[in-house]
Amino acid sequence: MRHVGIDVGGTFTDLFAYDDQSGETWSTKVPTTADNQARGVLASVAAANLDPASFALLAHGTTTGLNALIERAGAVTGLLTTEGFTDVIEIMRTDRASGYDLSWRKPKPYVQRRRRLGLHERVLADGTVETALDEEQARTQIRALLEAGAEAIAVSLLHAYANPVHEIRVKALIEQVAPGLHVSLSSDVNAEVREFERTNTVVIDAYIKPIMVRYIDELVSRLRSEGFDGRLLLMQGSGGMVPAERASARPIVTLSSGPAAGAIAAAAVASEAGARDVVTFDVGGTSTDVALIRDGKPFVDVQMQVEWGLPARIPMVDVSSVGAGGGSIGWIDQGGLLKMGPQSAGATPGPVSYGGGGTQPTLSDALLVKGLLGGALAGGALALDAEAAHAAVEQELAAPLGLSADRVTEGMIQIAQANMANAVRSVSVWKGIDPRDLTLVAFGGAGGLVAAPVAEMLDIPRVLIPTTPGNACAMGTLMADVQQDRSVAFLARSEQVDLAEANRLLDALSAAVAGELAAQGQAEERIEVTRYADLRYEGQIHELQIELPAGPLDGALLADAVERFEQAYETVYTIRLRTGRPEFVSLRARAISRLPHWEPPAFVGGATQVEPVEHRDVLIGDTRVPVPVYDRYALAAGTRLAGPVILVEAGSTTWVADGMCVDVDARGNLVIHVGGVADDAAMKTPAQAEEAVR
Amino acid sequence: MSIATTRPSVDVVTLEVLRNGFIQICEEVTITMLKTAHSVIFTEGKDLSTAIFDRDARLIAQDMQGCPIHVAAMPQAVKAGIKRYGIDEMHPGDVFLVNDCYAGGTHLPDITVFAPVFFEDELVGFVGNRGHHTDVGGMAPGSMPGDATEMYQEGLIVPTVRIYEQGEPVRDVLAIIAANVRLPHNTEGDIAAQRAGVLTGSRRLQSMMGRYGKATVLGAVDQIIDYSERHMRAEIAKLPDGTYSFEDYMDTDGQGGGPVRIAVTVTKAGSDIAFDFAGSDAQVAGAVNCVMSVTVASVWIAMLMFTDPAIHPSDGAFAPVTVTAPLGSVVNPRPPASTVSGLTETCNRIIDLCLAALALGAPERGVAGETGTCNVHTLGGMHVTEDGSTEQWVAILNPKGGWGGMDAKDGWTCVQDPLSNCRNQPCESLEHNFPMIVRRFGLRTGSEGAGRHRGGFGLVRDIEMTGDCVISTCLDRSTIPPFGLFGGDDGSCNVMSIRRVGAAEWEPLASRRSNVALAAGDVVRIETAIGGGFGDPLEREADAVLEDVLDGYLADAGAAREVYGVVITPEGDLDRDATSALRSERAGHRIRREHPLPRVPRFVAAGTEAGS
Repeated sequence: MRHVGIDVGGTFTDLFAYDDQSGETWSTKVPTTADNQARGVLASVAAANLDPASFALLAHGTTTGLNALIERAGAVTGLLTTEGFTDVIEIMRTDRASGYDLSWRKPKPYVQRRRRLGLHERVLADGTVETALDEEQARTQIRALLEAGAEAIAVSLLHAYANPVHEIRVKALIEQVAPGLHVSLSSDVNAEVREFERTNTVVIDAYIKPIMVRYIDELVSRLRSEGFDGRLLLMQGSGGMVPAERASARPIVTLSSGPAAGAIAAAAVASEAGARDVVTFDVGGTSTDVALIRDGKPFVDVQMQVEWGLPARIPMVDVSSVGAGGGSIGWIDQGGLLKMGPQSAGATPGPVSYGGGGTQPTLSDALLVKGLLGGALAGGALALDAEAAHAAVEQELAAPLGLSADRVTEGMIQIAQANMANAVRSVSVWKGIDPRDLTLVAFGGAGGLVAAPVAEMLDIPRVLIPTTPGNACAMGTLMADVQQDRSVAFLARSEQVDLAEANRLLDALSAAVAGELAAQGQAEERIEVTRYADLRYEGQIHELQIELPAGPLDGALLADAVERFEQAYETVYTIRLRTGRPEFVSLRARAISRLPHWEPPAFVGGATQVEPVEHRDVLIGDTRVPVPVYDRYALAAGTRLAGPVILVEAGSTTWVADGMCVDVDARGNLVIHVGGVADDAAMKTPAQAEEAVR
Repeated sequence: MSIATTRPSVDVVTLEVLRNGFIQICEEVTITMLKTAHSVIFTEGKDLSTAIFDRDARLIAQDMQGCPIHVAAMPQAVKAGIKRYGIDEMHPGDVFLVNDCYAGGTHLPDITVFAPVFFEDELVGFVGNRGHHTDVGGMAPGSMPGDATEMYQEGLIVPTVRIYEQGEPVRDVLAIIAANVRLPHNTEGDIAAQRAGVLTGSRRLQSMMGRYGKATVLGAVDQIIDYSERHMRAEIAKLPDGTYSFEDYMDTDGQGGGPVRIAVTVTKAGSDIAFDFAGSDAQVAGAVNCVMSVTVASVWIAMLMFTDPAIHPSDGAFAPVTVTAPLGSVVNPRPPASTVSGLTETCNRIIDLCLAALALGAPERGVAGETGTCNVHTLGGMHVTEDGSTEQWVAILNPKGGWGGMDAKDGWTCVQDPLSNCRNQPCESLEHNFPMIVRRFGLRTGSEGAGRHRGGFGLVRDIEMTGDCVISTCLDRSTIPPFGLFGGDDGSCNVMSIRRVGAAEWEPLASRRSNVALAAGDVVRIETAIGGGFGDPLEREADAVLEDVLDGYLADAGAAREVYGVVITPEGDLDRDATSALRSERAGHRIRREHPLPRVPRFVAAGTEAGS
């Protein structure tokens, strides 16, 4: 049977599939159909010439929910809060995106004020009910929201994380008044302290829910009509999978699934190659996504903001993004400095060299002018106009700056690389990690072109480029497990923890997540539950997640967890707070049911001695040097090449600068040694390479 | 010395890489502080900022999300430190601390920590940060006594001193600080976080020099400063030459007198611009005096806001900007005048009036008056802990209000005042940390601040105390509202009140009063300002007025008709014909509200006679 992963990105929909018997693989790339992503998904299947009836599993990452948020095209949503707190999502946290920018616009809430109504009720900080829910008034408010056109209702009551009794009752009342209406509860989606963040999170869930339900229904029915009878799983931002029909209950978990899938794939490939501490580096058209992987595991955080200031506090692989990608535009500011991005030429008009009407030179244009790219992209489908790119660099930038086009070309690339390096630094060095212990795992269309110089800027010694780097996100969806997360607020100083209460909450959480997986039809004996606590120092807001033992907590195990928190804190923030008082903030449980994972087979590769397919004249410093270009899949495992050299494949190019060298490893990954190795003969066969390493 | 003579010319590419590198260093310092600090005001409030300086205390870069006023006034603190100790007496491992507002500080709760950075045995620059501490002692918990009359009442005054000498803590000094504040655990933790930040920054600057070479980095510093100056000059040159003036008032001197006048005359010629505060009132008995370093910093903030916020805010950006103010005036007082509100209120007023004066030259960049105060009120009392001992608690609250309307959009609703960029505290966190229950936290709407683009809204927050405590207030724009511009209405004031336990009526709470006793069950209310309007309300888009009514921002159709000349039918639809008719009938003789004090910007073009 076939296992198929499909990831929908902003520009392309990528498919990666394998047959669990023959080991045969497929990968395709088709344009994303923004209006209805299901068409692109089906098109990618057709392009691979695969029959949906042969699918055991379709693992899917979608941006449908994300796009609805970005484009503000979600459902008409109503919000019910504790009376007196309906404006919390409009007040926000009162900071502004930039200290000085008067042209800034404060983001508008996802729910208009006319559809935000208050309920007579009050739960106190410790969870006690001070004022019982006025059910009659609640019914009146629910009816008012329906009259105002609400297609979905979010409910966020004060301190509902401590006691959800009123929220649960409100949900029942909505079901009575409007059977079948979409409802999201804050205690269900984000049971944590801080009313703005929790309310905004539940609002996002409700806002995208009707859209996601429609999308999933449509995708399932299209697939079924083509004979699909397997399981449809959706990728969650946390890096786990969820059955499609369950995703519609809490669709917010699917936000940011693509970047998570990319990070998962990169982590898995790197781990296989022996690199457990890595930074993933995904260079797309408009942005570069980076994520830190430690000991083979991505960091999961709850800090996502789709729009500045509007958080979605759900577990998500901690992927940072910087506005620097192939489409980033080069420009000169008023003070006469050369800048790159964050404006991007995007898919339209695109870089100058694409001939789609773009006039402003981009990073892709600079890479072409430098000579790293051939005359065409996408296997010849798109011819590149190097002359137009050169002219644009000359006219738009070089002439006004009074510099040569060559210098500006190198400058554009260097500045974009410096911006990308800053993003990598923010997830690694800023977390107290020594870059010399890291590997940069590059993928995405342009990752291999810029990764090695970025690594060099940061003293990262190695760059790994997996096979089919352009389809890493799709591949990642076939390397994840079904996963369910839940959390509950648990505020207590570490020396005042009520162990009985903590154990009761942990057991309830564990039973809830395991029960959810069982309800999805996962075999109970295959369900693994892990429990965690979020701790911080009193007064701080930065929590760290500490894994807890499986059994009941006692005093010693608790003390051990606190000690591990202090150690982790010291590792991440480089200091131990001698005077700090650790406190618990939340308890979490995660249930996992393992799926078969795609495992790249041993790389067969090509010949041990091959000739370059061509030479390209590459700008190095201020001269042009002929650089050999190899088909990477024609090289045998164990081959070592000294830079400067270019390696090509469909959809991706890798640049190894002079002074560096590159190995083809046993899985077919490219491993660039940024500092080179002692012996730098132009090319080595596997045997010679082995000899040289000794 | 090698430092001055061997600076190579750095090309634009390296320059841009290093410029971003300096900003990154500042951001890393701030992140280090955020992650290691103890106090809620640091971690949740983010009331802190970082900057990096060269050997002569010239500002190189700052973290772009910090509090504007922190950074703009920080070079003065480093300069004062150099003056006091001399460069030659500074050594690797030294860390300095200062909060004296007459030595480059802002107000006493803002503690600045900075350290010299050495590379190859040479002092090459400074990394500094500044954070607002929860308490620095003085007459009221939270150290924001709006009714202080001299700085000694405001808190502990620390001149520039070493807190670490060549890597060793100066325990005697740290002990004096700890003994004079109400929450020593917090203060020590936050100072440690500030030190951790500057050490991180120092290491990063050293590694930048190791990578690019000292000469290149220092050359880049010179060029970044030149670059900022070119950028600012290009922006200034776009404004019409001439003199611009504006005046505005503080409600009170803090001691029952007032209002207190502040006047500015801006003279713009070519690519230079001068701000003169002659005509401002003499320094006053109360707390609204604003030290010169803050006055200068306020002008800088206004210039960045009014021109191009993308100007890299290094020292050079302010080379074309001159600021003068009479010594002994409310905007350049002599010690020991009380200055606690100089930072939180007067500074905002200066920024507002500079922006309003400049607006005549470029109305499309103008902004009407905003909340104009940090609205600080502090609550303090005693906790009894489980083991029976007592512990002080201090809550600093500073809820923000609306901004003035602008040419292209309505004013921002509930956004930090110009000088700050902190975050409010979640109601749920307040209830966890302090003996209080928040009864209401919503928008304060109304028809004040009407305009083609109306002012942003404020908020209303009711807090019920569940234990006895005291409250101290430090507010302004409580009697004189934010101004409207170009025909827009004035906004509304910041108002506080108390409903005593068992009472039905609200009684007013003075805007500047320390240590008012509160009992369990008392409810404290603050209503923050609605910003001023921009342009004639009769020109507001009728559809926007209808939307405002539907969302309850405007009370009802009656208000739409009264204030905006927009007719809404009983069915809730817009009557466009009736609206046009009503608006043309009203045009030209709109009834304006009486302004308590005239505040009108004036512009005299260069070459024309003044005084008509």
